[in-house]
Amino acid sequence: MIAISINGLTKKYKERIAVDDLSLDINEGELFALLGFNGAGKTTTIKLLTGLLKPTSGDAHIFKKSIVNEINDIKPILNISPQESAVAPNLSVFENLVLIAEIYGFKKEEAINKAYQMMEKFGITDRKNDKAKKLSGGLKRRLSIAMALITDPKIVFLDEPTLGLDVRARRELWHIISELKGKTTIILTTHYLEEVEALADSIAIIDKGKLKIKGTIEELKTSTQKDKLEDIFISLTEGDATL
Amino acid sequence: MKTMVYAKRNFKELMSDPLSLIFTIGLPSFLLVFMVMLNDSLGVNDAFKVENFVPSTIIFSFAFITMFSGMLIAKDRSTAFLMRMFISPLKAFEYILGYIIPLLIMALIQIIILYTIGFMIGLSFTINVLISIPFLLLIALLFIGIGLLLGSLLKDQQVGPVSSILIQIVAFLSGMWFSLDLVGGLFKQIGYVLPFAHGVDMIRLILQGHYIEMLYALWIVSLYTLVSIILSIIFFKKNMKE
Repeated sequence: MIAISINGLTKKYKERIAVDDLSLDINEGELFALLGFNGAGKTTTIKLLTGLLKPTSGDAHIFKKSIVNEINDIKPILNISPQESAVAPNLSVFENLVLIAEIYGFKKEEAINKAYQMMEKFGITDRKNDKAKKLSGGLKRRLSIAMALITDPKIVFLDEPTLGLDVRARRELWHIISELKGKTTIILTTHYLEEVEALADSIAIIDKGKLKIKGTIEELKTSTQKDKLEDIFISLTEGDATL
Repeated sequence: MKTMVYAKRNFKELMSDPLSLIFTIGLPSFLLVFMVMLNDSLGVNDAFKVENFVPSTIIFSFAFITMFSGMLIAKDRSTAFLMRMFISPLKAFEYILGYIIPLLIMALIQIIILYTIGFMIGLSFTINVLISIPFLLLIALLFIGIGLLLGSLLKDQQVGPVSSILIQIVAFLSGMWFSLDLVGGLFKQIGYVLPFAHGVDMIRLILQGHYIEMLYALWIVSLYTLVSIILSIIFFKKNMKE
C-alpha cells in the first residue's frame, strides 16, 4: 500500500524554487531516504508533507488524505525529529516524553508507561529527572528522537537524526530504526551515505528541489552504471551543490 | 485536555525561572510594602496610599508577565520545539490558550499575593476587592496579549529590552507613582491615550464602589485588550505558517 503519494509538489519563494514539481510514491512500512546537498529542498519537502508549509502548487496524499485540505486528519499519525533537537528546555527528560504523548492523545497512565519504555530504549533512564537543557547535544538528540517515536506514528520524519551522535549511539539508533521498518513508514534525510546503504529500502536524490532519481540501491546502481552510492550521488548533483 | 497539557508545560517553563518569580511577585511586593510604609511615615503622595497603591502595583506587576510571556514564546520560536508542536495535532487556538491560561493563573497568583500584602498593611477587605478580581484579570489579558504579540514579532533577545520600555511606560504613565492630574499637559494626554492609566483608575474606582464612573475606563481597557489579543492571534498564526 502507498503511504505517501506526492504529485507535482512545488514550493516557490520570491526568487527561488525550493521544491520543483516533485512527484513520487513512498510505500507503507518502508524506510525512504531523501538525499541531497544542503539547500536541495529536503527539509522544505518535509515541512510541506507535515503541514508546516503550504505548497505553491501540487499536492501530496498521506494514506489518501490531502496535505492541502485534510492536514488535521493526518497530523495524529505523523511525528518528526527535526534537524535541530526539539525539546522543552526546562522540562525533564521524563516530562518531555509525557508531554508529547499526552498532546497526541495518550491518557496520562499510558503516556507514563510509554515514557519509561522510550527512556529504556534510548538509554536515557538514568537522566529521567534531568532538565533537557542540561543534556549534552547527543543526549538531547536521542531525547528528541524518542519524542518522535513515543506516539507510535504511522509515518515518522527523521531529519538528519544521527547528526551529533557518537559512533555507538549512531549504531544503536540504526538498530532502533531497523526495528521500526515494516511497521512505520520512515522518511530519513541524512548526509551519511553509509547510513542510507545500511538502512534504506528506497532512495530519492533531489537537487535544487527537483527529483533526480528514485529507486532501490540496486536500481540506482543499474540505471547509473555506478557501483557506489557516493558516486551516484555526486554524479547526479555534481556542479549544482549549494554548500 | 490537550490545551491543558500544553498550558501545564508553559506554566512549568515560566515558574522554573527564578527571575520571573522575583520580578513578577518579589519586586512588586517589595515596592508595595516599602512605598506604603514610607508614605504612612512621611505623607509623600496620595498615589502611595494603600487603597491607591495596591491596584497600581498589581497592574505594574502584570507588565512583567508581558516580558516573561514574550520571552517564552520568542524562545520557543527560535528553537525547533515550536516546530514540533506545530506538526502535532494541537490546533492554533489550543496553542494560544495554552499560553494564555498559565499566564492568567500567574496573574491570579499576583493578585492574591498583592491583595494579601495590602490587607496586612492596611487595605480594608470589602466585597469590592472580590469584584475587582475579574476586572484585574481583564487587564492581565491586555498585558498577556502584548506579550504574545512581542513574542510573535521579536527575537528572544529583543523581547527583554522592548518589555523594559513597556514597564517604564506603565510605571510613569499609569498614575502609579503620581497622579497624572498633578502633572497635566502632554504627559497626562499621552497617559490617557494608553490603556494603563485607565486600568489603574478602573480598579481604584471599583475599590471605592463607583461602578458607574468606572465604565468609561472599562470600555477603553476592553478595547485595547481585544485589539492586543486579536493582533497576537493574527501574528501567532502567521508564525505557524512560516
